[in-house]
Amino acid sequence: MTLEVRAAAARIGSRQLFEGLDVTAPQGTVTAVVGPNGAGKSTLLRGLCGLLALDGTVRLCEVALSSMSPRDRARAVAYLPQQTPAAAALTVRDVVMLGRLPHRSRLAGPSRTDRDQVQASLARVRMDGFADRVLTTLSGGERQRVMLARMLATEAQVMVLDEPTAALDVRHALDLLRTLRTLAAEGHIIVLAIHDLTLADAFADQVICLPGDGTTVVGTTDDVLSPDRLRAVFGAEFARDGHGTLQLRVDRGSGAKTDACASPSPEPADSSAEPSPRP
Amino acid sequence: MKRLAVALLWLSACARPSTEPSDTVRIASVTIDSDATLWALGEATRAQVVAVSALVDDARYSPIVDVWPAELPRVTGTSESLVALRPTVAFVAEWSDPTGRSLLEQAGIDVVVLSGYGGFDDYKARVRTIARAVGAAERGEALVTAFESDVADATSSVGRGKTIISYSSGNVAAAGTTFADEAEAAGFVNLAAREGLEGHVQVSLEQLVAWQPDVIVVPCEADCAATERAFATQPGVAATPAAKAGLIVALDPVLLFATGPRMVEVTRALGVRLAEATQ
Amino acid sequence: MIRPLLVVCAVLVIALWTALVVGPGDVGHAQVAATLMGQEVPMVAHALVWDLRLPRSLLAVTVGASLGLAGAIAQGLFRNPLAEPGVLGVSAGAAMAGAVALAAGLDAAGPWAIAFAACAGAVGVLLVLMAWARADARLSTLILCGVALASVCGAITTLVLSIGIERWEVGIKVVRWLMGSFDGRSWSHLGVGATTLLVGGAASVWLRQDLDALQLGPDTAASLGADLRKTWRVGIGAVGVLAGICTALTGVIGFVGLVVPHVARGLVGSGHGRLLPASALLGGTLMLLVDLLTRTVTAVALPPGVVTSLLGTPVFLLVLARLRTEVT
Repeated sequence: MTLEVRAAAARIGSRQLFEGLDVTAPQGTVTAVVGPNGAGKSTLLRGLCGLLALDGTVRLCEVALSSMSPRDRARAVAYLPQQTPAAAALTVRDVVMLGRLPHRSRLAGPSRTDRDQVQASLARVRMDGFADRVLTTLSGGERQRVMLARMLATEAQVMVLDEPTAALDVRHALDLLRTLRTLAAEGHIIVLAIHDLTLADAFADQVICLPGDGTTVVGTTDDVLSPDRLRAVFGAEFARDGHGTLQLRVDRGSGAKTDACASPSPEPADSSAEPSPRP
Repeated sequence: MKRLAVALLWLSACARPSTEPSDTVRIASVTIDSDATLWALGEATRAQVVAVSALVDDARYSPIVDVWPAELPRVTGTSESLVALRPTVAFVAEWSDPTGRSLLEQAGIDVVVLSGYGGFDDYKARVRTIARAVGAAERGEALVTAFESDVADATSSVGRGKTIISYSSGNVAAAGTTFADEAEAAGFVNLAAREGLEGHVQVSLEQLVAWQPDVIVVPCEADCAATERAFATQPGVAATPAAKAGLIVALDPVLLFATGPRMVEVTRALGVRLAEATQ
Repeated sequence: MIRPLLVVCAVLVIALWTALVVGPGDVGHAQVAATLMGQEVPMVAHALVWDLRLPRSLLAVTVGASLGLAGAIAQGLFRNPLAEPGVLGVSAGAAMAGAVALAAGLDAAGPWAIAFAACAGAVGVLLVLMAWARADARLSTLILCGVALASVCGAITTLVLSIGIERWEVGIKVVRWLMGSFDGRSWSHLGVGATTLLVGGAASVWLRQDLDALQLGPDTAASLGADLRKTWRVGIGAVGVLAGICTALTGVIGFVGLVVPHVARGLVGSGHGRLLPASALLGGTLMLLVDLLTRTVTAVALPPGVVTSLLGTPVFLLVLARLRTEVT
């Protein structure tokens, strides 16, 4: 099974976010989407889930996503948005059970299969002891694991996550990414947007970079996450050490550099991100 | 010659008071009740009226429609347009706006607040108040006497102690209302008053049915006979003695809610209906 | 989770029996039982129990259930614990249409004239809302649209009242209509109410999964296969029909749709498969108790809308206080 994107493009108003995006994500791979704020990462991910219509085509196993019914699409692609409403007063079990909706008819209640799947998904993310806890009483890391369990319960092959590590501390971020890598090894296709470029470099097989000027760059981590490109896109200094690991160089003295975990400052190439349109 | 001159002077001195009232007394009537009473007080009083109430020509509320000349200004409430007519005395209702009233008083107008609409005695008191205020006390007394003889004429025991209730969308006239006097004059027992209620009160349909009235009086909609039939179909009403005996009486609202000399007509109408029904 | 609901059911049955026995006319338990079983009873007792108390009480249950259900659907749809049918402006539209019809003297045309007018008002507001939802499906603007409509309808109602001040009889009728009443409601009213509740019930069965999914946000819900456009249309339609017809039948009764779902949530949790029927059950029981209270306190009738507001306000403030501590 392969996720294929051909000539994808998207625009907001008159601003072209990206165009001519071609990428293939085979089974067992992790694809990272990086880029500055407002570059169109969320738009791309929502397009991959069928939540909005992108120009171009998105195909899964040769079938266009746009031709699938919402339920079939929900069974094929699971999505975790950037933010979940904080006021959701559901229990952990209820949340994961929601993942079974694509498999249930509208009028039916939860079946034996549904309950088993929920249990299995919770066990997978080591949250089975939390089944009756209310979502709002969990920590950020625990909440993300529950959301992951919900995605697993849909039994979807493709998992699309929008900045799942954004609110997590390092330990939980690493934990989540390791879990995603394991899921990829089990046959899933993982696509995630991520701000932390060093983590992207460590965990992704391929990278899509959306610089925000309408262009796209797709390739391996070495190709896309090269220090020269990152300097141009993010205005930050990166370097590869002897093991080939990407590292962020922070120059505290001049104060011109910014910390790696905060939003990158707008780069010169992002002139089209200005709110006032230029002729 | 000298005696003739003195006689002429004396005559002219006497003549002046009879012409002065029409110059110095200007009456503004802001209630339908005073509109009707002032008209009944005769030519001299009518000439002194500079304004009548806006609803005087509304057949739904006024017993004297199209009687006052059309050129006479119609006024509502205690407005500036009323002050502009330079009245010396104004008759207003007790529910009129107090600030408006003080406006009139500051303009030097004698504001007479008409209150008490609870039956025959209240009507007589109001007539006397109005007549005194416009200097026509004798003619007022004549009106009262005519009313009293009218009442005496209409008083009978035709009701024979039957219980009667006036029901207007749940609003019931108990003790101390015009209906109480009207019904008693026809020999009925006012059911709501007997149950200890006073004034106008809200009573449920269930209570009405439980009281088992012998006669029910309701205000007419467009068609009195249709109103009676419609009321008889209200839930539970069929079980009342009134419904069984065909004694649901629909009266014209102008009549039923009259607070003037037409009150006597209600007494007569009730007697006539009872006589018809018992034939 | 079932036990508190059983308690509510028991309260409902007891309240219903009490409603049949209590009231003017001294009808005893035996006579009530005999009437229900179709046996011979004095005409008065039969009229009181069968023609007056039974349809009225059942209507109270039906209206309460409809309002509770409408409130639960609205809160799920808008993901806002303060949402209720009033927010959509449907009740205000029905109330306004009824007031205008009363002022125009349409009640002379028959007992159903005002109810029909109120339904027309509710449908009118609904159509505006649906058109808005088609053009701009964002919930925030939909709520604003509803609030604006409620404002306009309220202004027109006030205008009717201000004109009616001179015509006191009309003014009284309009105010009474706005305050709401169960008095004098018959089996035909109950028929309409019960049908509406059934329609609402069917819609809630259709909606419950989508409402659950919506709690995680519209994006997640859409990714789980929910057709949000259709969900909103069915949801808004259900809330509009339920609230509009209740207003048409019994006048304006507020707070039930706001407060009942919160209490229900405390009893059975947030899953809509349980929350919606629990809201209906609780709403019906509450409304019956309110009607019983207003009927028996004095011989003079109290409007149910006043009682629900008086009871609902402290409960609402309690809920608000709890929400503030919950949401960090």
